[in-house]
Amino acid sequence: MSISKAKNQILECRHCGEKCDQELIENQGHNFCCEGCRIVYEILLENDLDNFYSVADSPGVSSKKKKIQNFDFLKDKAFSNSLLDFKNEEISKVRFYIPAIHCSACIWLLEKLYKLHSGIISSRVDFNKKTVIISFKHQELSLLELVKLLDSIAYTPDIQLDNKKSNTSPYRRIWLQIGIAGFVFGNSMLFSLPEYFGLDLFDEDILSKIFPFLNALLALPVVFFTAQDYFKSAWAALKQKQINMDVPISIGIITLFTYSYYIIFFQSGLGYIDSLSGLVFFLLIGKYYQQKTFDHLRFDRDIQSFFPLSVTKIKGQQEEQVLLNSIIPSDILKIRNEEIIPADSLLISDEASIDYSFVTGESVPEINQKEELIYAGGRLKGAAILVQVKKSPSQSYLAQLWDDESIQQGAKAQVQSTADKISKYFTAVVLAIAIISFGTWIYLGDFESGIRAFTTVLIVACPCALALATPVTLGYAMRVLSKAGFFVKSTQSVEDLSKIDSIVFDKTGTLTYSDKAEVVFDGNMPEHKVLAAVKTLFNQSKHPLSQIIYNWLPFYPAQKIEDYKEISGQGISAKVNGQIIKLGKKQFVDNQETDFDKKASSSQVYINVDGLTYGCFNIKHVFRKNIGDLFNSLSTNYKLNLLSGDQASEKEFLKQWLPEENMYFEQLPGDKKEFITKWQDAHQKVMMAGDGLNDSAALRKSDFGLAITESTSQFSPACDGILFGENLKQLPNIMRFSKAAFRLVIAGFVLSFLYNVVGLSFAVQALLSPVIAAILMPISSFSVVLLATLGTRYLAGKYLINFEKSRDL
Amino acid sequence: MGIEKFHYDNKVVKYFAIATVIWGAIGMLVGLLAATQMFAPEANLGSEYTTFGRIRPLHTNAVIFAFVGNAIFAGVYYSMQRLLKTRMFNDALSWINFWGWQLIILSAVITLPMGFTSSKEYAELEWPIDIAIAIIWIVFGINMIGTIIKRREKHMYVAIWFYIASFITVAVLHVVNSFAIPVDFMKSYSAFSGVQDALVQWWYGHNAVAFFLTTPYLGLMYYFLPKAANRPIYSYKLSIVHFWALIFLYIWAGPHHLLYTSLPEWAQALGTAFSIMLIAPSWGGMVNGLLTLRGAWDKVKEDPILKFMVVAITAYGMAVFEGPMLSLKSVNAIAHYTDWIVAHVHIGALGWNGFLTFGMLYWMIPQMWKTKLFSRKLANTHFWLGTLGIIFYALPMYVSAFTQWLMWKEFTPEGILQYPNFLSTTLQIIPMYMIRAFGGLLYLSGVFVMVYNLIKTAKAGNFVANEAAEAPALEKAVSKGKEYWHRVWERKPIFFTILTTIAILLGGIFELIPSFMMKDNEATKIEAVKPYTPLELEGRDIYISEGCVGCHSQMIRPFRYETERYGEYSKAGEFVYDHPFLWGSKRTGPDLHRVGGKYPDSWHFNHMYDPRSMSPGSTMPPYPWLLQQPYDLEGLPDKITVMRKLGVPYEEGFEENVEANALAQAKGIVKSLEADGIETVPEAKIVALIAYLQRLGTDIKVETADN
Amino acid sequence: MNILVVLIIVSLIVASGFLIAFIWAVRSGQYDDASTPSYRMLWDDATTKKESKKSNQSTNHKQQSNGN
Repeated sequence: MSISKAKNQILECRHCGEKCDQELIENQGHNFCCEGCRIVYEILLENDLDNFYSVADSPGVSSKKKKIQNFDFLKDKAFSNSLLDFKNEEISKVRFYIPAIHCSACIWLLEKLYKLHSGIISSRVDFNKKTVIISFKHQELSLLELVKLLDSIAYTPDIQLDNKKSNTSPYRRIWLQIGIAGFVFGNSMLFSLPEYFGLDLFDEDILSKIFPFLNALLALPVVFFTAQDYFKSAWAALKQKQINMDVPISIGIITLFTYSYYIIFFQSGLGYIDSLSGLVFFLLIGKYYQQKTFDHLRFDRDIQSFFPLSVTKIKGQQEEQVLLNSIIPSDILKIRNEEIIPADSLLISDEASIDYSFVTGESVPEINQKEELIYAGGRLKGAAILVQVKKSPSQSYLAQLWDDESIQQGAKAQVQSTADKISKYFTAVVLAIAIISFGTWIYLGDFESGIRAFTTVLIVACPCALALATPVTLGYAMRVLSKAGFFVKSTQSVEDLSKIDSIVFDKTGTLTYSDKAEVVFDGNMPEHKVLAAVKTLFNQSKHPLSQIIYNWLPFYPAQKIEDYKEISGQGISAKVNGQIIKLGKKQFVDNQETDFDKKASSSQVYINVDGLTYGCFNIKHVFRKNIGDLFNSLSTNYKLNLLSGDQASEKEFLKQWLPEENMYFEQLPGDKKEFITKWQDAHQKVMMAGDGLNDSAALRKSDFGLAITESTSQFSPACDGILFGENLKQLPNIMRFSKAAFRLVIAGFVLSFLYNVVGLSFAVQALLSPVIAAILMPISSFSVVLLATLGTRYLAGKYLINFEKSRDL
Repeated sequence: MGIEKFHYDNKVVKYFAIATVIWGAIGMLVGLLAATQMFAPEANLGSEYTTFGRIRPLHTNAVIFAFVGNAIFAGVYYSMQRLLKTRMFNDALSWINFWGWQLIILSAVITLPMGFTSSKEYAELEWPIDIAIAIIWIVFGINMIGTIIKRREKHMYVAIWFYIASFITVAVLHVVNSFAIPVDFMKSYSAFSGVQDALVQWWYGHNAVAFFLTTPYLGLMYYFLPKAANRPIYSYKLSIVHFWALIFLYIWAGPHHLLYTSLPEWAQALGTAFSIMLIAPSWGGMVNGLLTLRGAWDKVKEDPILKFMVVAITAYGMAVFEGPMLSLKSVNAIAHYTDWIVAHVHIGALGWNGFLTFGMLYWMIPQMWKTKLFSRKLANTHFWLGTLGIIFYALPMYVSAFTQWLMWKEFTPEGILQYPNFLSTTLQIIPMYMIRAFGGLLYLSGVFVMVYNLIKTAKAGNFVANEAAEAPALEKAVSKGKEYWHRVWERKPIFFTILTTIAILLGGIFELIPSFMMKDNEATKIEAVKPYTPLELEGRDIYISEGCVGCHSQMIRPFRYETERYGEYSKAGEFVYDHPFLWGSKRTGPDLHRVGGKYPDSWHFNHMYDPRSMSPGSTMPPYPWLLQQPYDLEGLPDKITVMRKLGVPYEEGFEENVEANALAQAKGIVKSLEADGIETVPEAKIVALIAYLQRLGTDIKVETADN
Repeated sequence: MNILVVLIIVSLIVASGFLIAFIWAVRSGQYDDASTPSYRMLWDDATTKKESKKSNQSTNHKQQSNGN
């Protein structure tokens, strides 16, 4: 396989298969794109796990973008134990979520962990969930060491408190229910077939005794286990004086059951157990489908999960790891590079550059001076700092946003799903019809037909087609959308989305990239020799600006550097091939006030070589590609508004698409929410497209909160939907799709109503044998399901075809 | 706890593989011989032991239980150890399984040509062998289940499920269908009679196909196809659904083998309905198999192993579609008794079972000998020989099937049969039979190419009898305090399997007792129908042991073209004393249910001595030995007693003067032969046979076309 | 047709046997993960190879493992 690689002009990394463009390390005749990859390769070779490379081509995970992480919080016994699934004297079991799992080789390697450390007993991967369960001897290997081990081979676990949740599949129950219902369906059908064919079963009097009895027996598990949930939910609804879809379903089931038993035991007939089980079977499949659609989205994460789960507390001289919720105001904390500020606190160190990107979406870090208040949710860039906690995390500024009553349960007006609305009347009507026809027959003195009419009405009218239309259509729609990089919270959200008529945009991180920025050089560009040195120097600093510029500069071979210094918040300096190079703030490079004119909302980094200042890099936000088209295509059908937290600098730029009066700048989160409330009072269905936590109030308040992110890991608990930034241009299509999908639901309703009308008209006259009724019923459900799936697939092809698939796997 | 080192047992796999190849070759060779006799009866080498009637069951048994059976064991023993990351439960059991099975086959090879047969298709072997089969099968089961218990891999791969299902079901089917009461060491009478026997037989017959030729092979497919293609199965979910759906449906489809027979109509309808339903899961399997190779067809092009598997899966798809079609009454009317069925089963056997086995062997042997396949080229040659073989086999069979149907049912405008003489049809299709035999020859020669190739491969490599492997021990299921009862389950999956099996057997036996008491036949009883006389009974046993049922049915369906040709259609009540039933499943020769009294005794005598003297061009072999050999007079009393046990109303003490009774009737026949100038003795087998043939269908003889 | 009863009851017992097996399988989490097993079965690795960790050697047995 390495031969095929050799052909390529740019060498690919032996381990991760990425291009070795930034650096190139040779080792044992193999090329590596970075030190990290080489180390992993070494480790695998040492432990003779190099078969890894034969399971798939260059299957490794690149270490280039790997963040340096501090797992010391795992030293905290109480906490690390809380992560374990199981623990006894010698063995612990833990389940990790490892986003890096992407191919069969990952499974192979992660299940061979025991070769890397004798302390590991066994490990088991779940490829779909991207989790691995590891059982290990905790005397030989601590959880911390285990995590570090995984980190060392670039399979860094993403540690969340909710790691522990769902260690058994939530589907087991419904699988059982479907299986049993299906089994009973098949078998009872067997016993009923003779009757279907009107055949001479009852010449065989033994059989005529045994079959009904067997049927009666088979019915029990269906009614008392597989159909359970319908009864429960129906009962729950009734208790709140409500009627949901499950009420008629339950009535239908109960009637079928009781009537069948009546027939079996008093008329020695076969009953309609096959219809009963068939009905339940189909219903369950619909339900399963609905459940299935939820496993894509693990939303509504606890805000805490954005924070380090424990923090370094300074006690006297020494540091110690304490659990986050144990810290109180006035505690002194030490925050390291890339760590998150757990609570609003006072900066004790002289200076700190803090990246609030997932609070505000602002990619350029903010420089704070000593004694300034820094806010929870920010991420430290550069050297470690000391802070004094002002508010304990629970009350922190972010938490306040959460506690905002508008986020509390039920803040969003309890929209009732269309299906439920309909089912109310539906049920009432059906019951009425059933009772009336029953009464009429009694009045006519025909009890037999009375019973038949009553049951057949309920069976035929059993609204499973109705019940299926929504979950299947919208559920399938959810899946299609999530494949296309747009994640929706629930089928209900899809319905809400389809009703939107007004859209509000946030600016930073929504209309602009939150991870990319535009670099412009003012002044006179140094010659390549110098630039090579500069690039190397930038690569030394973790500072985001350095990173942005480093990536912006063209490729140069790495240079040798001496006495590197980084004064955080100021700049960096070093000696490269004899020249002293300084990079950073104006006053840092030549202690003079800036002479280049200052650009609004942009940050600058100056270059100074041997005391001579060449000029500066201007870093500026970049609007996403073709947002123009976005506005144009949306403005036709929707009322568009802009609510931005920043100064109005880009107003001019945006004017070409948005009317000035629809743009509002320097808005605080609270204000944004006010606006939305106002519009909603004006009977608009508002969608808020925002980013970051400080929009959450607005997101929650809106009828559909849409979070724009660059990566799914940046969850925003407030929203109803998450859209990858690069797919923002697809928003119009998504809206159209959702509308179409909802029309499909209506179509499904109509179809099943037709069935009901036709069926009922026969049923009331007691012309329908329940068998026919029950055969008609699954057919109707089936055709609705068919319509739903095929329809949705068609629509997906029509609107979403040009989507690039989301990049998982 | 910790990593455990262990060894896979390759030796037993090797032995099973070798047995597969050897028995395969033999079984097909016998098949070829039988096929030749279909157009050239002389090919029976003039010996009773190699005559069609006796070697047909040998062929079917050799191919099904020797070739496919050993292949199953080989595949299961190989894949199971690796899927469960453990050596087989117990080496001793493995070897008992191996040698036991070979002995059973050997005894079949000996007894069947000698004419020891129960005459039930695919269950011809007599009761001592039946018991042996049951025992060895259980040994296999214990070994398998033991392996599952001591497994190191928590998850049971779908293939394992298919193996378990096959084991349990085959065990049950075999036991139930083999219920019989022995007369002597090598003779027994089926516990069931007539319609009941037929029903049991085809409930078994169908499920034997389902659970011996299909489910184990699906298991093998789910293991060896991904292995050979080195890519995971297309959809593992689908394979799971596929399994459970199949299992829940298969068991019911049996009765479709008895459409238009005297079986209650609704039972026939039921068989049809479930057969149709089976298409879905069956095709699920096929689709899953084929889609596994999606995007890898270039690989398939140069890899003979994958080629074999692709054709195998396709053949499976065809067969499982054709099957349900055949269970549609209208289609069945055409196909039943004709060569269509022969074509159908051979597409399954040659295509699905044969080709998958070859693919498996070509992949497995190099693995165990740690080498590459000796010659890809030869494997390709084998592939093409085999494929052509199948085509040359199946197509002529379809042609002859339609010829048979068209000619059998053809009426002249005057409303009389166009071809009243059955022979005219037979002669018509002889060329087809020749081509079919050629197809078989091609297929067989392919097998020999494989044998050479595999031997060379083995020579090149060096066999690893015990392959070292390592895996972490499987730790006990850890679970929360609650749901204790279900935790117990987790530990004892097997406990349930065993429990179920026992329950089934007990349930089965218990439920069968009443039916022994035959109260049952009262329903269908016809007063005129009387038990066979001792001589007729003896004649019937000769009919059975000569395998006449292989070519002659005894079940006239209610179609005009059949009643015109053979007489009044058969009634369920006529078979109440038939232990076993002899309805047959194929009409190479005419139906015999109403042959009684159709011809004089002398005709039968001459016809058995030399068929062509009576019907020129007949492909029926001569049976001269029936004229020399005496039938077993002393055995008769026991037979009568057993029959009485089975509910046949011979009055008490009848067995005392059975021999006299028989001889008296024999003398009568001898006299009638003398009248036509034929000399013979009352003790000759031919006499008994004639007695039986003349009795056939005469009980309720009503005015039929021929007299 | 007593015999039908027999067959049906036997079949039913077999069927319910499988049903029980099915219930066990689901409850014991056999099907919690319905994708990884299909990959896992592709590798039956030999035991740890004890040889000097020369890269060229490692490439060697890379090729052979490609083979199978």
